[in-house]
Amino acid sequence: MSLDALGCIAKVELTLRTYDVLESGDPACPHLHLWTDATETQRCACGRTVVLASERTVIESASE
Amino acid sequence: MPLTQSMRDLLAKFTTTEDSTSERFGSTGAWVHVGSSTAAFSSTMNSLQSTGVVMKALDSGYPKRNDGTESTAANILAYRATYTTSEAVFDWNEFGMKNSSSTATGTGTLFQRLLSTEGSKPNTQTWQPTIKITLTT
Repeated sequence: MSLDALGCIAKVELTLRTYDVLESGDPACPHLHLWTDATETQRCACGRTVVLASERTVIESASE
Repeated sequence: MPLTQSMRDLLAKFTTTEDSTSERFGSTGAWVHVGSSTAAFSSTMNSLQSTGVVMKALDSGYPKRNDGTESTAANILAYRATYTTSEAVFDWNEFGMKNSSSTATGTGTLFQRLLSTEGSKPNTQTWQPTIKITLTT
């Protein structure tokens, strides 16, 4: 039996979503108030719409 | 696998209740750490390896465990943070969960460290890493 098989983490999965911040709304807002609406669009309290630009997932598993 | 020795020891402390609440990876105790180092992982590490590591508190509603969305089983932990346009504007190469906002190796416990070349974060985007850790027998 390998040591990996005895480990307590089987997998770590990283999903990185990147969002473009459209240039509208309050330019002074640091975009600390992002929220996701019912259509999965991220928005900011300052009025800017935040659009999903990319999504990528990497997985590191015990067998690697 | 990127489990650290310090997290191994903390898991043992959890079972004997020797841990303190500040050591737990809950909504207020867990921090996402991101850095630029590409140094190989060693289980003796207790921090990310670059000098410019940026940590973030979890997004509202996180961590999730067995919620049916981000975590689909009782043994999957899901953590997520959102880095705003001005934060962590550098090459993203290393990712870790820590029970401290401190980037110092002598403070807190680093759960794991994952290496992945994700490119350079521009100051025109927000980036949102979600880290899912699956524990097993």
